[in-house]
Amino acid sequence: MRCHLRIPPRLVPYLLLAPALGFIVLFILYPLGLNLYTSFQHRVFTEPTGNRFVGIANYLAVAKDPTFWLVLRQSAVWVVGSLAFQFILGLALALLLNERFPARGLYRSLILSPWAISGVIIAIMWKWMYNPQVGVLNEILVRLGLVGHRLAFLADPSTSLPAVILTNIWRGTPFFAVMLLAALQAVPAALYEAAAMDGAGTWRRFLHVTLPSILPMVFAALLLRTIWIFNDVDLIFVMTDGGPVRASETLATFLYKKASRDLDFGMGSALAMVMFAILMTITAFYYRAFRRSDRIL
Amino acid sequence: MRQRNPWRLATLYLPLAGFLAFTLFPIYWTLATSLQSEMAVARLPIHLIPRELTLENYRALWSFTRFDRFFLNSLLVAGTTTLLTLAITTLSGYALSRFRFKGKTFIFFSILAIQMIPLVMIVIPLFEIFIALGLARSRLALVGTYTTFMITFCTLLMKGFMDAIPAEIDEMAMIDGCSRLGALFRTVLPTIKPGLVATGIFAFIYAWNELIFAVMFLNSEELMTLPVGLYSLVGQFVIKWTDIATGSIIAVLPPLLLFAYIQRYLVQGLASGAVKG
Repeated sequence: MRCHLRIPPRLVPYLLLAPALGFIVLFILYPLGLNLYTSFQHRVFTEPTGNRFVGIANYLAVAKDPTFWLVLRQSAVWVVGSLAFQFILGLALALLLNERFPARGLYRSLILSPWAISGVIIAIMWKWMYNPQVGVLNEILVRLGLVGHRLAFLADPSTSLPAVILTNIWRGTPFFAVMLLAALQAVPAALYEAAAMDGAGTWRRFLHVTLPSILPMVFAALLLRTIWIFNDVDLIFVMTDGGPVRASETLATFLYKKASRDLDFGMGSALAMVMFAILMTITAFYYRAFRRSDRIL
Repeated sequence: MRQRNPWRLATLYLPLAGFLAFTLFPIYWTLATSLQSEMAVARLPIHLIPRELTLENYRALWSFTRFDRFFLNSLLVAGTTTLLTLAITTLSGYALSRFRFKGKTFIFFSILAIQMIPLVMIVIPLFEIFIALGLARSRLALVGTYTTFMITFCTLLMKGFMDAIPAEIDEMAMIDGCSRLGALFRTVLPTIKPGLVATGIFAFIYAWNELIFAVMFLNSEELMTLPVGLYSLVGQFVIKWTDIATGSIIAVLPPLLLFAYIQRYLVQGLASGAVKG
């Protein structure tokens, strides 16, 4: 006969959750708290004896740093540029995927493949295609007669950020499409039939049936993607390292380099808190916009 | 609804082909680069379809670089992360799927919300925690980090899979003399095996692909995972693109193949609130 440890049944679910919650508290929530604490300290990894409490000095230093305001603006360009195209293309792709056509499953697998590819490899693929001497993109543009000479997309301050944004659009569009597709497939067919009966054309059906039905998912997807893109580091980190002369630096890469290269943990933590505050504001903004649109439609 | 063919061609098949070409071209081009000699890819004019193909890069990569080491490290880190994540989220998913208890709603929504915390924020404190634990600069630190980041997503996935099977099968197993955990391991897990595999694959792909924490945590070539190894190759003064393309193709194969198997669960997971971009 097997012996059972007698555990009060009331406690079982908590015990089952304990390892998961333990990891989350230890490696996510506690670090978040620690981050807040560190942001009020002078703390540089290479000066182990120099740690001291400095109040809001790090935050003041951030506010006074012109680089911070520059990378903040560039973060906005990075997020809005990536998001706008990912959304428009993603919605178009979702509408296409919602149609019936041969080999749809295979098509969806292929089109989603960027999701499974590591950011560093995506960065490598595109960096190679952007190569100024023997890059295939230049070759195509020259052959089509769109440019007269080969361009150094990533080395030119005026094109480096747009070039990385294009890569990010490539990376994020398919997943955006799948999120929206999930919403499209949940729209009851009866709604379309009723609209067709009332004589609504394709465009009116899209505007009055499809769009209101998928709106909650659209907002959720936009918000999530905003957060991801805002925090995304790997593409820029590998493709341009924020350069040339910070032309493609965003808040996230700036913070990451403060942490991993300068090892300035105090300043880095203050930057992280600022980023967190910005994201909270954006989330609140999305939430209000969502509530309002819900009333209108 | 049947529509005329030219219309369908213009509004469905042409855009579909356009999206497919846009998506696949970078992958095709990397593959084509990996199959040519270094001389051939550095020569103008560029041929969109390569003239001479060779497997030499693949042979050279394994013999002359530390790529085998990177591959092994990635396998170790991603494999351990997968097993640990599965062990933890089997239990947490079961708790959320089968039990009613005080604080359940709070815990459920906390797990949903934690998915939205920007992880780049905690690079610094996490690194300091691992220093304090004596684990900084170790693969174990990465396993702990990746497991934690996958717990929220995978708990929700597991809950979804378990919700889809009736609670009566647990009860029948318990009437037959199984304990709660016995019911979980003998009847629930075998029933959701495909879901279990899918969840494990999500964790594996994430750990296999991650770069940012790995760069921060690992500094010796001996410990580097594939993304860090590839990153170090692009950072060198003279970049050997054929090597890097070859390495990229090798590194991208496992997640791509696994992904083909699980992609339908991605859509399913989205419906239950589990999101992972």
